[in-house]
Amino acid sequence: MSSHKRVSLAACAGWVCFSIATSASAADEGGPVRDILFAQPFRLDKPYTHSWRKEQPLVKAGYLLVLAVDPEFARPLQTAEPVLYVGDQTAERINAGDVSGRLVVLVPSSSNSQNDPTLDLSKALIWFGAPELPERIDAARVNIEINAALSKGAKPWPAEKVRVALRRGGRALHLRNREALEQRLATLLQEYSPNETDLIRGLRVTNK
Amino acid sequence: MTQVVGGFCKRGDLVNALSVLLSIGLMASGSSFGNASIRAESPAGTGVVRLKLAGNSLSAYPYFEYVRAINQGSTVEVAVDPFRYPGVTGQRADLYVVSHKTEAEWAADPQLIDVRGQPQSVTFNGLDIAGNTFLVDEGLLSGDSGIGLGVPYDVVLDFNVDGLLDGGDYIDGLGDAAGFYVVAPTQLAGPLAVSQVIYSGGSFLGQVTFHPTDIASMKQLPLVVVSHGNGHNYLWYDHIGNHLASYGFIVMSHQNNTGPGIETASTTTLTNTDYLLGNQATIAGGALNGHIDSHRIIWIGHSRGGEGVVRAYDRIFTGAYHPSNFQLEDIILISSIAPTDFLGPDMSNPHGINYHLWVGAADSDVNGCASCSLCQSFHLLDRATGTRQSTSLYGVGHGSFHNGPTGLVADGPCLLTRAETHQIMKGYLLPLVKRYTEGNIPAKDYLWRAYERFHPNGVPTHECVVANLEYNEGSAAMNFVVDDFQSPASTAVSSSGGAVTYDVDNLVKGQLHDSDGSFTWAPSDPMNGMTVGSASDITRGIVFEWNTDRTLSFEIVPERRDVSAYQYFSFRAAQGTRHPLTMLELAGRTFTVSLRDGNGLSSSINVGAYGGGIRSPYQRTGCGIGAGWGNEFETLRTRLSDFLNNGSGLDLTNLVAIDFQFGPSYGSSAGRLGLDDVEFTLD
Repeated sequence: MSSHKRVSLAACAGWVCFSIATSASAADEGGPVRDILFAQPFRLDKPYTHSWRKEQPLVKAGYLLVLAVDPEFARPLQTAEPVLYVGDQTAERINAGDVSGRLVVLVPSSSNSQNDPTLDLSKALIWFGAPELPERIDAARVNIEINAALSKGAKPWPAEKVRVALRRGGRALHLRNREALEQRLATLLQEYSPNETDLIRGLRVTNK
Repeated sequence: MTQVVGGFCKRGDLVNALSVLLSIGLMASGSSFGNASIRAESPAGTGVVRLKLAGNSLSAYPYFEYVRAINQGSTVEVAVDPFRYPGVTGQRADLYVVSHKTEAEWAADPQLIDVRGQPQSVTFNGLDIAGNTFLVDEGLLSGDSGIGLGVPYDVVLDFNVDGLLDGGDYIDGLGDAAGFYVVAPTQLAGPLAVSQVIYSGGSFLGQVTFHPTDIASMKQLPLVVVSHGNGHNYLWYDHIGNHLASYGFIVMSHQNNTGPGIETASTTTLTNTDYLLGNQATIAGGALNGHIDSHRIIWIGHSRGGEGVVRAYDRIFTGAYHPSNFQLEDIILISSIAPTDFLGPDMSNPHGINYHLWVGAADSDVNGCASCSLCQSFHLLDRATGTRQSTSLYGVGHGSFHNGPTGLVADGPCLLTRAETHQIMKGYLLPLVKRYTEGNIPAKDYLWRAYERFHPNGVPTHECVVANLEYNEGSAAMNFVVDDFQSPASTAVSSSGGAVTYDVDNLVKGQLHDSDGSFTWAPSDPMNGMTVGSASDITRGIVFEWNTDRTLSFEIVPERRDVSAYQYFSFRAAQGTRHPLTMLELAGRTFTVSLRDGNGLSSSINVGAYGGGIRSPYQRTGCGIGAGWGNEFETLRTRLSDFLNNGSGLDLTNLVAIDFQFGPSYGSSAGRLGLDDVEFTLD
């Protein structure tokens, strides 16, 4: 990524978000995360465990994102893969995206009194960090990765892009549980990464 | 010292040697020829001589290989060594190939009925085993055993030509095990129609289960669980599911949460196994209910999932996880396909479970390079302390093992297609699971016999197909381990306490771990190419080289010199990749193994008699300079009785040394090898 100017960072409580003031106007679209295409907030009646992080927090709210990514960079590996971060959180990659160049991800967030996610996507960095198993990533490691990303010039996506993505996502989902969320994920995959037919098929299976 | 090489005395008095042999032959048989008089009064089996008869001839000493499994369509021969069984000399017999019977069945009905229609008359006029070898079937015997593996046959030499098994007759069989088994092509689908059902119990509880369509009429069937790898999908293992279900297995492949890592993946293996067992009353409308044998569970995992299944076992083993519907002892086999090793020896440890490993030498993901410890699948194999075996295939990529829409994820020459890989996989997978779910006898042959001598009939055999097999029954097998090289540090003493003497060059004993991160040959890294263990593993062995006649000898300590109770002599060896002496000739390395007794007699077998010797490394580039991938061990097992053929005179009750002989007089003129696990095995 290219360098940037005057970046400052402040952490929020709970599902920490970034307040990044920067004179740089946009994220670097030449990096592996090329665009934010879709964003939809969700909240769940029944939380699920976020296994993509060492602390394994329970998730009641967050965002469904669709990111445009470098397909080669997203190619699944058995060895350690670059970890995708959104704000101060590890994102759960739902699909491979190595053919479509589209990654559908789940981003946990803290929630407000109305149980809506508090993560401000317009202020959050979205980047691939160093290769590691996400289940080994803890808060300390996240901070290291944040600093490394900032030093490389990472910036939040322009507010307008985020607005467009949120507009495309539509109103917040209020779902019963993770399984219901996965039905929505299947729909998104059908739209953004339709070649992953087996994954879609698997997510849509609900009956015994 | 009288030394018999290739069946001929090189030095000493042949007559003296033969006189010793004659007495040994009588002892070994446990019965002399000519007890026909007890036939009428005794139950069948009394006075009958049990011995190995069936197999196939070899072009070099020991000239015949007694085996258990013979491919349908291949010839079957019978041989009797006149030195070990001198009573046969000049005798005529009716040779029967009969359907196998247990001892009790023979006692109840000693009548001989040849499955070929009629017996053949044979006369033992040969001067040696080759002269007393007879073709008994040209490949017409059926191996069709339905959902079983192997049609069992006994061979009987009816010396008194009365059409009954009785005193004085010779039999290969007469026990739980048959004389030999004709095996149908194991890569072909079994006879059962297969149904599959896809369902989900929730997030990461999506499963597809393959089962015999007519399962309602069947009893409990073993369960095979498949845990996929990262970026893979549980629907990509239908080749395994359909194949094994067609032979009477229930195969469940599940969503595996590999993205976060190995611990998480292991959790989904555990929860999915539990889910199926706990919900069989409702899954597939209850079709499986009561038909899953929860005490015969096999876990198969691929890549991260391949490590995940090992981690899952470790978590139960250590008490860190308590399944609801099964327990540790119910897992009877784990098979990892190209597994990673993220977690190391403390957490990814198969312990004493029967363990099997698949490796693709062209894998460009879990690539096996010295610079990537977590990419070295063999670590898991060597940590296993139970029966462990591996099937490593040159030219096979990471993606070749599944049936998904991705590429082969392969790098290297002479790549096999996915279809070819699946043929080999299915051909070996069936015997593997049969071995551990049923104790199937002929299945064992698939696990250790050199691929070039024996493999599923009809699988690809072109020049690019190279398979290296390792087989070791582990510490619980009561084998006599002459040297596993774990201790002491000295190169002059074996782990069993005997002296080790040698004049091979540059012998180094140490950790089987390439320590410089590259396969480039460098004298400073004598374990170059070794990926058997990580830096944290303790597995050790030796490496050495030769370019003229050289010997490496292991003394047998006095208290262990009677090895007559053991069936096989076994060791594993690998060529040293990219070493100048390896690169001299890209071919298998052969050498001679000699067993020496207290009388100064020695019997020698060139390992090339049973196959191509120790295969040259896969000629893949990268991971440093040059061509040649990791050092792939293969296990060579030789039936101890083979050393007795043609009057070697060897006294297996007083064996004093094992001599490995290298160089132009004994095999390949030059080479570099790794060597490990020198032992005598009970079976």
